[in-house]
Formats: sequence, C-alpha cells, structure tokens
Amino acid sequence: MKCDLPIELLSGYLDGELDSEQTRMVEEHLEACKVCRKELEDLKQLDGYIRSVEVEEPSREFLFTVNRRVIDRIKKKRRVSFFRFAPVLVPVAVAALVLIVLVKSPEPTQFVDIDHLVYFVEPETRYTETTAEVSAVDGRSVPAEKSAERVRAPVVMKDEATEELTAAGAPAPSAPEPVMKKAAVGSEYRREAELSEDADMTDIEGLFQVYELPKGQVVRAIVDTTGRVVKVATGNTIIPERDTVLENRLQGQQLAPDRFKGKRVQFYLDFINEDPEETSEPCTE
Amino acid sequence: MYNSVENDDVLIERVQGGDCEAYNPLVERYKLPLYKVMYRMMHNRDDAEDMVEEAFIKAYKAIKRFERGRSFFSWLCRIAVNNAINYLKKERRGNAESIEDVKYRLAARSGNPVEMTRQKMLKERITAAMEHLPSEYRTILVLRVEEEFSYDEISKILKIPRGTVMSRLARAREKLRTLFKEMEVNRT
Repeated sequence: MKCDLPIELLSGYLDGELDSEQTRMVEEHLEACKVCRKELEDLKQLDGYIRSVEVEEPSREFLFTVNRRVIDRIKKKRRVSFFRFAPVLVPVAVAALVLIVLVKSPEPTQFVDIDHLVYFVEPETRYTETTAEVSAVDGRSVPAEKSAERVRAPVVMKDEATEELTAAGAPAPSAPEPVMKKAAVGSEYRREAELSEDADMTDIEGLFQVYELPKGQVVRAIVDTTGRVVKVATGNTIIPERDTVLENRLQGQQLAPDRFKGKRVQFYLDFINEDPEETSEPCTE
Repeated sequence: MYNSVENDDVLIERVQGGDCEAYNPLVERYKLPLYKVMYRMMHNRDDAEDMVEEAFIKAYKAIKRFERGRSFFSWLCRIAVNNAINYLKKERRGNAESIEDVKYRLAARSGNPVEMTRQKMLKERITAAMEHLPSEYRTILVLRVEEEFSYDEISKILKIPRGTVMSRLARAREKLRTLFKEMEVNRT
C-alpha cells in the first residue's frame, strides 16, 4: 500500500523542524498509517547508523602543528602578496634609480693636467701674495718679495693681484729684456693653498731663458703635492701642449713649497715670456 | 596565546586589523570540531586533516568579509564544506568504488567472524553508502544528523532556502536507505 505523506514532512518530523500545524498533521497520519510508522523507524535507524560511525582520532602531528602551519602559511602569503607587484614595481624602481643616478651624479673628476688642457679653471685665485712674482737668476733661493724688486723686466700679469702689486711697488723697467714671469697659479680643488713667503724656490728662470721660448708663449708646470714638477707644457696661453724636452729638464725640480694650507692636490704654474714693450704701460702708471 | 579567553568577535576584529597571530586561538578553538565534520565527509583522516588546514587558510583570506555577530564556526563550516564538496566531486570522477565492489569486500570479510562482527559490518555498510551519496546529500546529512545543525543554520551554511534544506535532506535520506539496502550482503 502506497502512502501519500510526503517524505519531506516525515524527515522534518524526525528532525523536529516542523511547525505545530505540520507536526499535528503528521502525528495524526502516523497513528493511522502503519507504513509511515515503519518508514519513520527506518529513518531513525539510518540516522543511528550514521551517528555510529566513529571519527578516527586526528594524528598527533595535526594536533600539535596545524596551528603553526596555518599561521606560517598566512604570513608567507602576505609576503608573496607583496611580491606579486614585483613585475611592475621592480622596473619602476630600477628606472627611478637610474634617473636619480643620472641627475645626481657629480661631474667627472678633472685633474689639472696637461692632457686635459685646463686653463684657469678657477679664475678667482687666492694667489695674492707677492710670491706671484718669482725670479731667481743666481741659482739660489730668494724670498718672493725680494725677487720681485730685482725684476727689471716689464711684467705682464693676467692675475689681478699681481697687477696691483706691480702698479704699487715695482719700479718702472729700465732695460727691456724678456724675463719669465710667473703669471698664475691654478688649481681645480685647492682653494686655500697659499705659497709661504719663505719658501725655497728653485731657480728655473735660467732654464727657461736657455730654452728660448717665443714671445707670448707660456710655460705651464704641473706641480704635485710636494711642490715638484711633474709635467711641463709650452705654447700659447690658452692651450699649451706637452713639452717633453723642457719636461725632462724640469721634472723633479722643487718649483713650489711642499706645504700648503688646505687640501694638497696637483696644481699648475704658468710662466709667460712676454714682450716687455707691450706690457710696460701698466707698470709705469 | 592558544588558550585565549577573548571571544570570537574580538579575535576576528584583531585579525581583520592585520594581527595574524590573533588567528591562532581561533584555529585552536575550532580545529577539532571542524575535523569531526570533515572526517564524516571524507571518511579519511589524512584528507580530513588537509581539509581543515585548507579551510582555515581560505577563511583567513576571506575574513574581511566576515560579518560580526554571526557564528564563526558556521561560517567556517560553510567554507570547509564547500571545499570538501569540490574535492569529493573531483575525487569521484577518479576512483569511486562501485557498489558491487563494496559488497564483495564486505562479503569477503564477513566470512571471518572474528574480524568482522555484525556491528562492524553495519558501520562499514553505512560508511560505504555515505561515500556513494552525491556530495550535496552527504554534506547535508553530516550537518544535520552528525553535527545536529538546525535547518536555519544549514540554510545559512549552504546558502540555500530553508525549504530546500528540508527537501534535500529528505531525498538524501531516501537515497542513503536505497544504497544501504543495495549493499546488504547475502549471507547465503
């Protein structure tokens, strides 16, 4: 005999999930229907079987390590989630770094050297001492101021400081004869360098005169931190060229004092062989 | 830290704020209840343990969407059950033991009364019948019969209407009874 009670109601009745009206209806039906009572018993038994299935104990490893594993995986995922932007962030970061390097990178170090042909890199020279004029003809070292007084030759100075000195203190020339004059001191880095007045200076004028430079030519000596000549160049005042012949004569000569105030670096000294007639005017004023 | 007395909402709020260590007490609190649910669905210890771990990871990833005031365990169960259903669907396509194979295996054991008592036989049959249920039916039976969730709770966990819970549960019981009968071993 087939019963028309929906299985949903029987199942719901078993679970106690029917409302009061449905419950009353099912209970009335069950009193009258043997088949449904049997079916309800079967369902109860089936539930009992389901509940009888024992749950196996979890492993000790699970009990003791699952917490840590979960937390570790969470932290790892958070780190990974940051790096998932790496395909975008890394190129951007590299590009930014390159840009910063290009913008911020200092100009390449430019040593004062003949090869670079640097001339008056730092025009505001602090060379204001009388040592600007160095002259020695008798082979002994002389104080710079004295040597300036002995100079009879007209002097042409590119340096403002030495111009002042010449106009104020130096007597007018009486015998025009070419004399090598120190015209300028240049150093790219040395701002405080000053030649001391009692510095021993090697007589180089004689060497220059022997060498007989054409008028208007400059002798540029590259001097190292000890004051000794390293390289020599001659030529016009803008771009003198390396002169190995004169360099062989002067190399190692003590051309400047070996003590400086400030950073000790290479610098250069220019000696100009000027025509005295062309440059006498400023001195006589 | 494991034995934190802070309630679920406080811990969840801390986790939502970025304190992942606050997740530890939640794992400790619910790993065994969730393992029981998973074991009854998977009928395998290793699979159940894996499912629990995966469920906690997925729950963490979705924790920002957790609404305060809800039951964290129900919410966790929903994630775990859905994950398990997906796993079971894939597994079933692979290596499902046929009902005939189950009957043969049970019959072979029943010849040895020491090894297999009647009670054990029944448990093996119901286990095998549950394994052959569609995962939706198995899930709803586990939640109702074994975990004793109410229809309303099941409705929230599975995101289905309450009426669907009632009808699906009834069909699941019918199907299970049919399978259980099919697996009865003919002792003759």
